[in-house]
Amino acid sequence: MSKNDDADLSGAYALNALSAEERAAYEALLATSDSARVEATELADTAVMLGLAAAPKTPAAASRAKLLAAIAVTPQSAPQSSATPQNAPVVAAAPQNAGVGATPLPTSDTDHEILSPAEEEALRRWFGRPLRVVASIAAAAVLVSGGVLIGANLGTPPESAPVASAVAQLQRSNDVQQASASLNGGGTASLMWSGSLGKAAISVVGEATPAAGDVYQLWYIADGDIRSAGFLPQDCSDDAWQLLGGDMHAGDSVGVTLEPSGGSAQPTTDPIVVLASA
Amino acid sequence: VKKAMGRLTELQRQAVILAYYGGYSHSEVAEMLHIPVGTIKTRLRDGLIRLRDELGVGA
Repeated sequence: MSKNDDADLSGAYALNALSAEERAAYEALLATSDSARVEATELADTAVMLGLAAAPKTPAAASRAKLLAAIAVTPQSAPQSSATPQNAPVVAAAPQNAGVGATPLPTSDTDHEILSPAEEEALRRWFGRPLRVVASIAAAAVLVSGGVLIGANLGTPPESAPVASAVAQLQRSNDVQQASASLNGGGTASLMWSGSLGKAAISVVGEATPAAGDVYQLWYIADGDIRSAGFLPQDCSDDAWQLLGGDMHAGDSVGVTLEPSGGSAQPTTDPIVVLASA
Repeated sequence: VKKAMGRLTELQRQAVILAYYGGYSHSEVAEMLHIPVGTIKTRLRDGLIRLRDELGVGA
């Protein structure tokens, strides 16, 4: 590859879109050329700005949940710099050891030498520049799910993560209690609450899908006082706990009504279920 | 950034979006867009240089 060809790689280099060989070739050029170095730095900074600009966008709740689920079941590589020898085989591919015969487990000092140049490149590609990698993963997750269109409509803000941890907190609380009741029209609702946290979560199974333009709204109900507690998500999977908004007061009942999209200040229909906590 | 992206040619924009936001290598991008790898290389470079100038990086 000629020098001129290599100089053309600056854009792909900044975007981490080079093969290991091309990357090595371009880095060799960087070592000898000031102008290439300046260009590479500036384009890398530009790429970071692309990532920073995209990062605040939020993925659709469904893609986010899918991604988090995939992360939860995907085995993670051992840390590259770990000093424990038993991690070595994870990083060093088996073929490198095969020809050596009965070599004992390599010590951490030799880990690095066992890696082929391509593997080193691969590791460098992923671990070398954390900010870039993180930014581009976030951006990729967002924009690929949006159909590779900048400014695509990316759906509702993600609520699943805070909800999940708040529900877990609720489940772990010392005074958590539960109650269940049948829905008018079939199905079951369960309420879980903690007086000390002042929080509650509801799980509704078998409810009828609301007509277009309608939502299930949640209510805290006390004597003469009904407060909105948010909505059941449209795509709420069966038996998932949904955290209620606002604070639950001691003795509040929780009701669910069908309301026009956007919700109502006070219930406008009869509840499909009321769960008493007292 | 969005405005700066709008200043790119269609091909530059597609190449940058696929390579950066899509996480594809430039040879994969070339394949997806049915364009020679060499062209993608220069488009990525031209596109990023344009973005750099639009965003005022290093100015």
